[in-house]
Amino acid sequence: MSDSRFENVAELIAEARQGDAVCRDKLFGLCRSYLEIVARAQVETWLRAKVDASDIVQETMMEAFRDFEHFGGKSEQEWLGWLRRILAHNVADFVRRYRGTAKRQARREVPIRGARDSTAAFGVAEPAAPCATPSQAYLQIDTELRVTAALATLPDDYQEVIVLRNLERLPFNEVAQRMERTRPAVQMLWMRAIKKLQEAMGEEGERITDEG
Amino acid sequence: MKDDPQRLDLLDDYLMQLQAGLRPDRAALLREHPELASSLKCIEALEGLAPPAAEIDSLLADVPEMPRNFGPYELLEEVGRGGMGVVYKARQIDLDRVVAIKMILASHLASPEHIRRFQIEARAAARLRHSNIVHIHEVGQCHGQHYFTMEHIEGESLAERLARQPLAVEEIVRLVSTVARAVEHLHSQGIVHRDLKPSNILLDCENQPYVTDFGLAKVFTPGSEATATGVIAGTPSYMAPEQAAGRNAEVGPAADIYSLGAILYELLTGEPPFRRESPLDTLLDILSREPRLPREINARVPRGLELICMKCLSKSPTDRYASAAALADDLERYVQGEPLAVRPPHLGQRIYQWVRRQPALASRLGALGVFYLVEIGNYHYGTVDWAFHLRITSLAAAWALVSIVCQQFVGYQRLAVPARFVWGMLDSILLLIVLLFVADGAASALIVGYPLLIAGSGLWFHVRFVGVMTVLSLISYGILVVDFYCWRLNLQDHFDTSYARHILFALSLIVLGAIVAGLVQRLRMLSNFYGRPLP
Repeated sequence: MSDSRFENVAELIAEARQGDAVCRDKLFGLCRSYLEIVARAQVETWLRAKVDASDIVQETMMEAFRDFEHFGGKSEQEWLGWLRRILAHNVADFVRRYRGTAKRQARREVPIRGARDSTAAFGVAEPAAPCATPSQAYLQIDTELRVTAALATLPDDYQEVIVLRNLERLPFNEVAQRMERTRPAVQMLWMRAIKKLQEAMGEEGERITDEG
Repeated sequence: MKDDPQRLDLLDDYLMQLQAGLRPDRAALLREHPELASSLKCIEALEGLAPPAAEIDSLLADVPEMPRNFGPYELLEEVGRGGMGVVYKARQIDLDRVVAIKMILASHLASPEHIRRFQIEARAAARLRHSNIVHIHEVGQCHGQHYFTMEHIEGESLAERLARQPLAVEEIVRLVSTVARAVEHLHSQGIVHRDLKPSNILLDCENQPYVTDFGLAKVFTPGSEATATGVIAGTPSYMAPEQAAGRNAEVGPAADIYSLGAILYELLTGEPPFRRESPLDTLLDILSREPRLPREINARVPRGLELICMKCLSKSPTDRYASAAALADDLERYVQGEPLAVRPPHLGQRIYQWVRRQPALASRLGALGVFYLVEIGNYHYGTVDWAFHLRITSLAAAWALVSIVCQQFVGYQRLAVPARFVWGMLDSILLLIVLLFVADGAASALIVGYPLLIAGSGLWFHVRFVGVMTVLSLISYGILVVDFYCWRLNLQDHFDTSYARHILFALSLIVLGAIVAGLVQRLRMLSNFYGRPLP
């Protein structure tokens, strides 16, 4: 089995389905920081406050692990879409609980087939490249995992400013309020964070080519 | 770095178009600015991760939202969210009255001990009755959700009010003195608010203020057992120094008086006393700096109110008003036009406060003053002639002037960083001029100025700045050494001419620079550690 990190998510899925525990762990490990960042952005967008999303991630990972045999997709894209849907249910539960509605919605089975719709429903499509060819779509997923892995390596305040500005789509005024800094200061911080992220993504990229 | 504002505008503009659902013309942008390629890629990748708002909304949509029953309450609408939890407007069904209900976020009540403390504090708060305090009705738990209910005030918070438009001076005085009376009532019942700020003061339709969220800050601010990150939890801008520093044992009624002063300050000037780029800078300022005088920010602030405000903002709790009532009394005296209890600071205090307001300028003027006094002594006893004295005087005056001008520029937020570098550069140039043309160059005892410059540069807390000052000092000293061997032949007879002396001096400058930079670096790391916002 090759050790390259991202090119072979599809392979990892196939191996894991054959019952290879190492590959399965690897597959899940790979997606952890992706789930962490997406979960945090979703919950915080909704609650407009800083929230610890680690429970949601934990729950999502466990459920994905448990229901792995029900996952019928092959590609990375299908895989991330599937994870994202389990995550969305957990986020919705969390938000509902937070709002005092304790009634937990009966969990709907995540459809096994027809994973195609996930792309459209979960906004994976990149606005800048509206008519993505298959190879572009592949690269794009590659970027999604890579950007979250890189983001996870940044210092906390860099992560926070990116999550607030890019993922929660807050204007700089509100970012400044949430971080209790001045607007010019968070703008500077954002510039530096983007720069650092670029570098970190470069490194992740190099690691892939080195290992691959 | 100099292209940063433009770069920021371009990237932000691009991001805003993406977020608005437009398709920005990447190719066109890249033709003009090819260097942005990887930044754009980053931004697009991040945008791909952002949750579409519809995603969660659609999942929640199939649950009927309102009315929802929560124990004996019917939730009507959400009225606010904070770090602690969500506040709803709700109807208490049995009594048929409208209340505000605050749900406490589960992660804030992690342990049974936490829950117990929350309930004790909330019950203590529920015993209070005052016409300007939001009355707490009930504390409870429903479906595992901790909550408390309180009087519902139809209106807005002082923070929202302030964001809309500035208030008139009479209105400010009335509000702050009313709030101070309410806080006095809290204190008389043994409760310290600990988190007074504009968003915790509600205004009803008749602009009557109501204090809310009192006492609970203690429960949610971790004490001794808590994580280190708890130290600057909350809103440092309105926090008393003893509270911001985490000396929880010292936090008493005087901390609330400080917060009242900070609120008065913001109402008068439109900004809180201290708000800096990073939490560490804000904290350091709260601990050791004086805020700018309100009249420097807004010339229309009456002198009397400035005095009252600055007395509340004293660093030492004992220098503040003895009680919230004393503050309210003084505010009422101000309205009546009677003489105030607060006295203007005497000369000594004024000088001390000025030094704390502008330490960089004060230290330079102080050093120049000492230097000039020695020089006057020399002149008086006839060791130097008139022409020399004149040169020294004009140089000292020029240096003082440069410092004052630079301090002005450092005061502007946009110029603060470049102004520091220019200031440092001018300092080392002026020292070089003094040494070359007034003193004996490398042979003069005044070369101690270099270690002083390097040590002083640490006060800005920037590693890069310390590095620049060290390099500047080395270059400047190098010029002195060249000058010594080429042109000061007369001195060479009297002084040690070996190179070892200069090498030693230069090396110690480097070591000093490294030590100062190391200390600053450590402080920065602490800042990152402590400065993290609470989860």
